[in-house]
Amino acid sequence: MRLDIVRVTKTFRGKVRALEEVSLTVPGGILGLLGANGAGKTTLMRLLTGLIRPNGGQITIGDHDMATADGRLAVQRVLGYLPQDLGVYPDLTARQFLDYVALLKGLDDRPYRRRRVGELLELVNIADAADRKLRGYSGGMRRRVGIAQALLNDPELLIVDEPTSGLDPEERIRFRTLLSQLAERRTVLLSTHIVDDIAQTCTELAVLGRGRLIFRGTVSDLTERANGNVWSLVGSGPAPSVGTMVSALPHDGATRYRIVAATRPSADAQPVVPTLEDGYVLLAQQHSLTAAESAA
Amino acid sequence: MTALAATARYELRMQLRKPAIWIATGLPFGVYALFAVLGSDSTGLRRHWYEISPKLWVVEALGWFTPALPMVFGIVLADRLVRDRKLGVAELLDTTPTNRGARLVGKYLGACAATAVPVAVVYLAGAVVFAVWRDQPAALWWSLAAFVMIVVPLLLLAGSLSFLGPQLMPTPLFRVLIVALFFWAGATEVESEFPSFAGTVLSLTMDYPLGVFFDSANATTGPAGVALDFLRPQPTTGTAVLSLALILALAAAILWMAGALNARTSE
Repeated sequence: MRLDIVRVTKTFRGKVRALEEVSLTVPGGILGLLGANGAGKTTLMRLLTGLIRPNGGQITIGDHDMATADGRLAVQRVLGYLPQDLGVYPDLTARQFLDYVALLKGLDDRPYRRRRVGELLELVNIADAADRKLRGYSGGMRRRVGIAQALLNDPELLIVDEPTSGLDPEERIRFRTLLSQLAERRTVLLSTHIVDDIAQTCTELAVLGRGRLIFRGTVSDLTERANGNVWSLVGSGPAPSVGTMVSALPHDGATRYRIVAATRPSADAQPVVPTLEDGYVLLAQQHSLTAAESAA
Repeated sequence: MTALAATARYELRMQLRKPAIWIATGLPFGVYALFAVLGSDSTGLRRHWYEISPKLWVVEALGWFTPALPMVFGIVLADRLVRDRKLGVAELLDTTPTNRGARLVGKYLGACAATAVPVAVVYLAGAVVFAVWRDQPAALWWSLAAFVMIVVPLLLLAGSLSFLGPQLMPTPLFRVLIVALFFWAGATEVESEFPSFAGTVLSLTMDYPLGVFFDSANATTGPAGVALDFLRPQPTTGTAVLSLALILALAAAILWMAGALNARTSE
């Protein structure tokens, strides 16, 4: 299912500009949406689900224009959505909650609905706790219920906002694998600020910064951008003040720093092979520099 | 199954499991009814136990409940709509291919039905006891009619107020205000110098239907020579039906406003 977002702007209460002239095309498969908190990712997700309307621009999903009520309804019929802050009814069990959402998604056939709910409870590994009230669920377990509800109608378009937050490492790997498998025959939009989730799941990504699209391309494109800009150095004094420090690890009584900087931070700094995270950090650095220059 | 039916079903299920529903509505009325029936011979329902017709008995019994019903219903139902947003469920449900209005009505009907259950259990159980003890099966039909004509409209009005009010103000404040509304629109004296809905076709003690359809001696109807008398016509079948229709129309209008406001807030 193809997504076409053309020059979309969203302003809240007439003042806060959450998105500005964002244009993005997703032909299918899985796309990672990366950005810092407040970059506009969740606003974009909510626009795509029809929860809110843009102030300008156009969103077309498949053949459906999201500006019309019919278009939004048609998209919602094939949509699976996991919001960032998923709420549940604490007085229902996981099975009942999924049954209710399934009914709202139009799964009217009772035997099929029951079977589908059962399958998904197994898939997200909460079948044993399925008849316990959601009140007693941990954050990670609720997240898994959220993932299950998003898949109830076998969606053609799956939009997941920070899906792995609260999951333990094993569950995170499991869910990432599931997402990749799901993307084989549908469109998946994965919004996150966890770079590793994108590195392990997506080949294509878009990066939002301060409400604008600042990158659209492949994971390797963004990674390669940082070539020659990533440095490793060992020191025991104060941390280097040049560039952006990506990591600091204890190393033989000193500290090994990984730094993203356009110039060599010190004479003993050695260039290292970049990762996606380095590419993202460099992009964010460049973008904030550009934004500061524009403001000046 | 439609969104309306599914939402009503699950709302009913969730509300009925809340101990607060049973404690807030069933328990006080149960205790009240117990005192009324088993109290001394000179007071309470026992006074008329062997004297009055089944129709009068059900009205007397309902008279013990009616004045407090809108207040209790309003307090119990006050959090039902706003809690979806507080819990964060609303965002998820709003992305399902359903009509938001249908879900709102389903929620409203489910919540109102669940709130009615404890009152119905106590009231109708009382009617069964009376019917069996006095060998008067007519008490069952009269109690059912009184429940539908008096309790249900009050519940629907209190329910719609509870869906609108907490969207405009904090829920605890709404709960205080609905108590004040109940005194103003029903429990004050008609002759009070302060203009009120008491004894009018919009009275929250349902004076017109109680007086006209059930011959209640406690119902205050007709012109009283005070402010808002244009709302106190002569009691006839027509004005009693008008009273019921006005209360139901008011409930529908307030629910519509609650839905419109809820949709606007979601945006």
